[in-house]
Amino acid sequence: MKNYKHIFDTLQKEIGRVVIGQEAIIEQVLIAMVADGNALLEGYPGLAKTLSIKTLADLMDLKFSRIQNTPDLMPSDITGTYIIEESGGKRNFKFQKGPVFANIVLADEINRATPKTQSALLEAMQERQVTVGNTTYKLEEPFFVLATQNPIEQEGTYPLPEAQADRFLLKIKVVYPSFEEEQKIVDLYTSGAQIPKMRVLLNRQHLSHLQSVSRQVPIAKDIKIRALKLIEATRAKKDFFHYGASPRASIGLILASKARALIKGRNYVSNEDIETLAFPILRHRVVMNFEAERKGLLVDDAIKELLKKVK
Amino acid sequence: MKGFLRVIREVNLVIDSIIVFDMLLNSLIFFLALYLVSVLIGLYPFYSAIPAAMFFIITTYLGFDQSKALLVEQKYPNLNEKLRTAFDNAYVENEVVDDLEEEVTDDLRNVRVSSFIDRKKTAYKTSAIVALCFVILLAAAFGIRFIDVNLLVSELPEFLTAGAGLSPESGDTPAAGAGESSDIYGKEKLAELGAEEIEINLAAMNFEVLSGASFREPPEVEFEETFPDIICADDPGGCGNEQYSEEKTPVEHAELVKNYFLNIAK
Repeated sequence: MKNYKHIFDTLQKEIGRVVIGQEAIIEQVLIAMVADGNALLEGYPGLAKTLSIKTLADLMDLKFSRIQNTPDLMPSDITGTYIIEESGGKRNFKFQKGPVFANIVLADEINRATPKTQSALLEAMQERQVTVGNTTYKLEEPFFVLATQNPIEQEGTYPLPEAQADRFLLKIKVVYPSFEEEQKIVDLYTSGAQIPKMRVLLNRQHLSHLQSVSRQVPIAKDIKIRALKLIEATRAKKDFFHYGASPRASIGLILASKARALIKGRNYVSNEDIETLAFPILRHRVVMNFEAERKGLLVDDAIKELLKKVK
Repeated sequence: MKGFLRVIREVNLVIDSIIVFDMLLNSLIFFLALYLVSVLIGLYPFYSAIPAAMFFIITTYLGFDQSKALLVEQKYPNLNEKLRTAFDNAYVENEVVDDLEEEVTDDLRNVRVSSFIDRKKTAYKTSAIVALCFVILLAAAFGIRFIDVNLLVSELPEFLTAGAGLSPESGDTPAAGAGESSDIYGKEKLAELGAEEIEINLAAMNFEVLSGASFREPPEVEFEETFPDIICADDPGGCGNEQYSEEKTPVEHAELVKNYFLNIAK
């Protein structure tokens, strides 16, 4: 287990050379990747969301592609389309793969794309395949969609429908760096010094091994029951939530907790894992009710209350 | 995995025996306390063994039902969550679980059995047992009894005891002298005094224990069948002819004696 911890420590250290601060964000993205899930990063512009994902992709020997979402983006711009190819005097239709055919897909500002385009990612995220016309194309493993969105400038945006949001394992909140961190960021990017180049630390075999090991991490019965009760409470607790989380959240919480345990070098899931990951797992899966919103209660506050009650 | 299952069995056995020991002490205190109360209120004291036995069974069952891993974790925070997880996944075989079992087995080597025995509490409990035993002995030796439940029950109005098996008629035979008296003295107070139990202590006297050799046959004495003349002289019928004799008390003497006792009673 110490070896695994060493791998993740090295990864974080390497990312830290380019991305100052944001350790928690990078850890959560790694959790999503080890748990074989997708992540949605939400934060104000300029908080190194895209940079973090790009750097992480650079550290792994994985195919990376980026989709900049705009209202006029078409589904075929993501999945790919048939083009006419002329060879030997003959014209044939050839499938031109879209950016979704990669290992890590960064869907930048996903809420700027139309629902039709957003839903093009749906099949890819869940089924790991793309259907164009009558043909279904399997996506290469591992496959992650790491999407970003910002909570401001909501005009002209299309908030993700619940069904699609549920397919993201984690919704990671990107916060502002501390004063000291910001000082370091400014020093790094204004001194004219060269931005360090990343070296590849992991390949897809390593990643798939880490994914299989993370599923082997054992969990105590009472901790598992607590996790399930927590998810169940989002459905039962009508004073906060209008809609609760689905069983997909239960699966996600356990898988993500196992992945976190592995990243932390622990060979068992702790209550701390459940408590830490309850926020990114639940915050996009529950819908607050009118009364809670009237009181100005945020989703994270409600989850905190739930964690206090479900012991 | 087999090795770890043995570790689990050993941990369970040790914790179970400590639980049994602790519950045994608790039950003994409970029994002695009940015994003392029974002695003081005049109940049959050995009945207190029944609730004490029930107390022992219930508390021991609840103790056994507890998670042994949790008990160990409470004493050893370095095993927190780890031990529970290893116990729950003892039958799972994979790289991570094997690593966890190995780690837990190593950590369990530092677990001392004595850490589960609260010496202070055990000392208090043992002292309480000794103290209770002394109090019971003293109460028995001096015959200390605050109330007599049997007597209270016998004095309850009939409508309260009816059907509950508490009425004197339904149970034991009432003590001699209890109830209404119709004799010539006719005083209720006197009748009640007669209802009280009398404790008779037989004082030990000097005596010799005779060995078998010192026993001898009592001497045979032949009695004469003839009555002394002094008895037979007043009897005109003659000795040996009458089967009974009647006391001839003058009526005035009898009246005198009766009046004497009536005056005393007044």
